[in-house]
Amino acid sequence: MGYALVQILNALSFSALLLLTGLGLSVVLSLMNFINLAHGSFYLLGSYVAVYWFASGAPWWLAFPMAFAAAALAGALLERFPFRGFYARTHLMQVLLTYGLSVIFADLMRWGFGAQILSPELPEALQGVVFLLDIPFPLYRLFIIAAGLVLGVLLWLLLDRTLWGAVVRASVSDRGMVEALGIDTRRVFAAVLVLSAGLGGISGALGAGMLAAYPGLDEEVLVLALITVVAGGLGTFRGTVAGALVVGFALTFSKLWFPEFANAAAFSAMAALLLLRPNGLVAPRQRQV
Amino acid sequence: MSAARDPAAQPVLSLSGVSAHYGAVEVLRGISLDVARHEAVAVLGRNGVGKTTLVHALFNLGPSLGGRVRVMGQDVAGWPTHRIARLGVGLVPQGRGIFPNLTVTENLRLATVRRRPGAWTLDRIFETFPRLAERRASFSGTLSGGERQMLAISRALLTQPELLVLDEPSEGLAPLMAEEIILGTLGKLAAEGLTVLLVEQNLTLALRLCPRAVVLAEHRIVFDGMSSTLLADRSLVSDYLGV
Repeated sequence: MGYALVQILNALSFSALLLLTGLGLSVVLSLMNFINLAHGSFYLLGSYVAVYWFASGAPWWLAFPMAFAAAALAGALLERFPFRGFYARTHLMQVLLTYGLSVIFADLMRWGFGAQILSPELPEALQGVVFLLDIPFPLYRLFIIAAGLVLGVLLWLLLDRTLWGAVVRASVSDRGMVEALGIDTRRVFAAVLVLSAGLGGISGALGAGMLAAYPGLDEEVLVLALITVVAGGLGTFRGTVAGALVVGFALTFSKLWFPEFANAAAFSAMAALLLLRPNGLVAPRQRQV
Repeated sequence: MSAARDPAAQPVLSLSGVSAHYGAVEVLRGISLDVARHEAVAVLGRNGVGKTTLVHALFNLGPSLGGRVRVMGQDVAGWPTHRIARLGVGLVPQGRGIFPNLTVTENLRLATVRRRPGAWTLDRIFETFPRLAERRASFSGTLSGGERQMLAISRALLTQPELLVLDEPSEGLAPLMAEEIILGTLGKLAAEGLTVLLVEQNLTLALRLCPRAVVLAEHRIVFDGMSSTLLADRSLVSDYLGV
């Protein structure tokens, strides 16, 4: 019983990371029809920021806004050049551009942060374990679940309940009409990309305590986030939530049940899911791609 | 703009020699048209003569253009759509262009993002269209055709336009609803001094609202004059408007 609970919480903490990373990817894909394969780089940048911030002795909780800010700044610069010129291009061109950039960023980060695996020294407040039905569980993973929940809800409120969110949703359905109301949609798009990058960064900062930080993690996270977004249904918030839960649980439990074939089992399940439901778990209200 | 020129005397909209192409296909040829402040002008013509392209040309929403478009005296060549709209031009596009995944209130509030000063407020809209007030929390995708049209017009009004451009507002509406919206709602707005450019297929309604009519045929203007003159010219009406 306690064992099952611990595994479920393990899966949930992984799902929370996938959710935050996937949301950043999916909001840009659905609003701007832009595939950003450099999203994993924002994640890894956030992880490195957290590792160094935790070691610096500054107030630990600032690591998360700092990671958000660092990745958001990188996103803002990339949005001006070269992303902006590629929004109207084909997906293949976007894939080539952003994949190429991700390779460059991977090299830059390896050069700047080294090739070794860096595990952050977790702040005291987040260290240790809690006992759940007599089984120890790392406190930090509970923190990830809580943070994923809070940030997910905040993002949902922002997109669903604010006027800015309404502008974003309207731009998805009819960009020209939003412009005809006097709203500069290019600035809306830039803000969405910055938000997406920031989300990638904060996911990385949260994930560093669980997955550490090392060259190649950017690609691993990117692939998982892509699977999350596609399995959930492109461009819907609920879809990304569903996708994160499915991928998080599938990977966690396949590691438990078929340790030798964990990835093969989990990804076969995803492939089967997509064959059964090509539009993902939650089909978008309108196709953007 | 020189200070000596009275801005009120300038046309709010002035097209000269405007042409438009979709690839090699010409959709507008040498269109010249001035709309003065407080005028109500109907743009008529059969399907496919370029009426919607003309609307898109004003807002730079369509294909590349030749010629010159001036809005409120400013040459808007190459301007992004939002800057043109901010000069005080409201759009009710063909098919209404409402955002179905937004509520009625959200649709309306989007028009107030810019906070242009003006007489229209959400309260005044809800007074004018009590039907929209009743449905304010509904997703606009669930509205009836008439309600959608009221929403599209209300949204355009909340941008506080001096010129309101409507592209086939009667399309898909029951005759009574079309009459109510064009003669009732738009008639009242025009009487209050709003400049109206009404692109329509419904000849009778459009000409009852607008004292001046422009007829497009074969991608160019074949008539520009008083609506009464147009109505009296049976051959023009039957040749170009198919009535």
